Amino acid sequence: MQRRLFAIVLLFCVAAILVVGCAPAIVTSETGAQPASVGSGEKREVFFTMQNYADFQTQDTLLRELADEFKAETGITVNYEILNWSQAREKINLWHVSGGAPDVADLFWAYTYSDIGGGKYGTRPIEDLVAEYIPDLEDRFFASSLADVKYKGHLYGVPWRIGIYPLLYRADFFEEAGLDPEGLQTWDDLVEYAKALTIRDENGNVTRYGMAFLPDLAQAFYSWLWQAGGSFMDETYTQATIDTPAGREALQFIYDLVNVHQVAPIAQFQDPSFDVAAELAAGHIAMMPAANTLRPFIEANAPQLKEVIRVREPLRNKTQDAFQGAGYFGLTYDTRDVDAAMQWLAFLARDENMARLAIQLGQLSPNKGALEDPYFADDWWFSGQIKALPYGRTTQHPNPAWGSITNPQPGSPIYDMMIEVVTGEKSVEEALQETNQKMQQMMDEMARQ
Amino acid sequence: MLKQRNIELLKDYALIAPALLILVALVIYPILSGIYLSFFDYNLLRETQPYVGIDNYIVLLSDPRFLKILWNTVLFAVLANAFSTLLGLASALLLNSSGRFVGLLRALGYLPWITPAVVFVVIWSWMFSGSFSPINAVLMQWGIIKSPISFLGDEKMIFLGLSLPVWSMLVVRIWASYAFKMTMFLAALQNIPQDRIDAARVDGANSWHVFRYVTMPGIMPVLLVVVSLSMIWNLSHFEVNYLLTAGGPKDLTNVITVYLYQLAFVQWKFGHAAAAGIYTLLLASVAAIVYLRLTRSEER
Repeated sequence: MQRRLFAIVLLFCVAAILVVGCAPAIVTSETGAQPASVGSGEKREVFFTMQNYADFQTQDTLLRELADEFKAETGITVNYEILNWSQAREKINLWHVSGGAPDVADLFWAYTYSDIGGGKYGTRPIEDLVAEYIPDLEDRFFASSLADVKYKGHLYGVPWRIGIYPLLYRADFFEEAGLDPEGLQTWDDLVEYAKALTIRDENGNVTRYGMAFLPDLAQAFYSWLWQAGGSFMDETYTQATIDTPAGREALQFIYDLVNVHQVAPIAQFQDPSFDVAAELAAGHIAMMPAANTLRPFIEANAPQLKEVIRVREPLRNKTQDAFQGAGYFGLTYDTRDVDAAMQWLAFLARDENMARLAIQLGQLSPNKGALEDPYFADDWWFSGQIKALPYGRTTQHPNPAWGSITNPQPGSPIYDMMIEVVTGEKSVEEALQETNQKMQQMMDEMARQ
Repeated sequence: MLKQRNIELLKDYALIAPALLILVALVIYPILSGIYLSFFDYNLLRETQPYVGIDNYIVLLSDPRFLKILWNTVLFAVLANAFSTLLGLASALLLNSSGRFVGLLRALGYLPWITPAVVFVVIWSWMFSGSFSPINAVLMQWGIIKSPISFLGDEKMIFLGLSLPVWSMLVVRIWASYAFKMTMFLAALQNIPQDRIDAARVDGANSWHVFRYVTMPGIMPVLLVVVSLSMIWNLSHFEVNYLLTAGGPKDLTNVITVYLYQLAFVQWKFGHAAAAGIYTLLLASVAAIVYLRLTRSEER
């Protein structure tokens, strides 16, 4: 009897879970009109999420100010949440798989996520809404940043930050070694400069490396490949193309910097505790690509280096391309009150608000009006990045497998290739061939829809 | 009479229903869902998710990388459990006295258990850093080493058949888990009647004899339960391995839980990740069965 009763209770619990789990989702409005549930007398709200960029307090204060100003103008309440980057990718993945996304979100990888969502979840196309709410968007934002949020004829959001990773160097180390920054232009120059800047102690231990790579070891390959004249995919974005002479040249060059010339730290590829930003701040690195994450790190931990770090245009080989990526604010298929969400988006897209966001969160703005603020031209970091903007090449690849191919964790083909080659586990040829095959397999699998 | 009994039973079950509901929602449903998922070639980027039977399980078992990680999982679980048990027991024996600062020392000894993994992993990462490690600084200052040791990166440095990154990971795992055991052993030690120890002393037992014939039998039930419980936790351990090395370098410190996370969120192969999860469940179930048997025999 007891067992039967227990079974009944258990069954009840399972049934309750199933009923809750299978409940119909909230119906979202597909047009710019207000959903039926939003009446004129009801409180209108927008739920907005953004990843962390500056310190929490600064970002929280800025968002609260913006939300308060927006409410004073429109009567619409904005509830926001600052997501830590360490969880953001997983959360955004899940939004695109199973819904539950906020009304407006700070997003990236428009191509990848629009395909994952499959027109049901996550980021949604808003070109019609933008035409209505932000009609001058195309004029007010750089085309290169808009290219990052356009895919298959759709527009997915408003870019608010743009990252370009040219080259940074320590001016004081250059001066000390008698090197002219203007003389550094090509890959060959880089080797010579890096050798001159690398210092060893009496035991032969390197106390300063001439060169280091981007903290993200998958992204670290991009610019070298492009500058060698290569690309990750063909023009149809269906074929992997890194197993080419350009791919070999790029990977061999990276290997040589570490193992032959010994001017870059192998620890970056071997030791999970290696922190390239901390090494730069400690004066252990003379040159490296100018990743966006380095600026806030230096501002917070080694502000004295602002006087001696210079950001300049990228190196030249067959091309002079530099890593470029844009983050954007977008609506999702879970957006409840589309009109309120678009009003908030239009509010954020104003030149003055774009400038506030970029300046206070330490980002380069893709908004032309915002960039006119003298802050950017005078800034120790952004002044160099602005000069490098013409060399930016988008990191987006319109293939849904791209996010997985380039994830900076074990199991991702590019990341694994970099580690395997530099640590001598595989030859350049072998690794490139395998990586190309893995990429192609992933792209083919994604294409089987 | 029978009806009255049924009503009482129903009341009992109604009282445990909320807990049961939570258990079903947070444990049973995800397990069933995971098992279901493991039979599909579930990829986030595809609309259709084909049924593949037990292919995911076979694919994993025929993957040398997975087998290496499976071995790592067992190795870390066994060694971390063994060493942390020894350390926990030694600490408990040392602290099972009444001195002036014993209370303070007990509190300090318990700190690793209550410190969040994210916090202590950052500190250990700094301790193990090639450039900034205070351990390296001291060793170099004393002239013991000439070049800094790469605790998490030097795979060629081998001690007792295990590479330096594995030992470094073990140190953190042991440090993080010994405190709980110390507390449990301490509680068990304080339950041993003093007159038994006194009687053994009167019979001529030395300290080793007291430990071997009085203390160990006294704490044995707790020891067995703690070891088996710790085995379950160690087999499904995630945070230290993920936060400290993300499984690197070259999978030397990778364990199944980290690998399944990478399968799911790096490669988006949820079917494979679910199958890896079920393997973890099976592994932990072995330890769980031992634990249940021990606790049942205790109850009897």
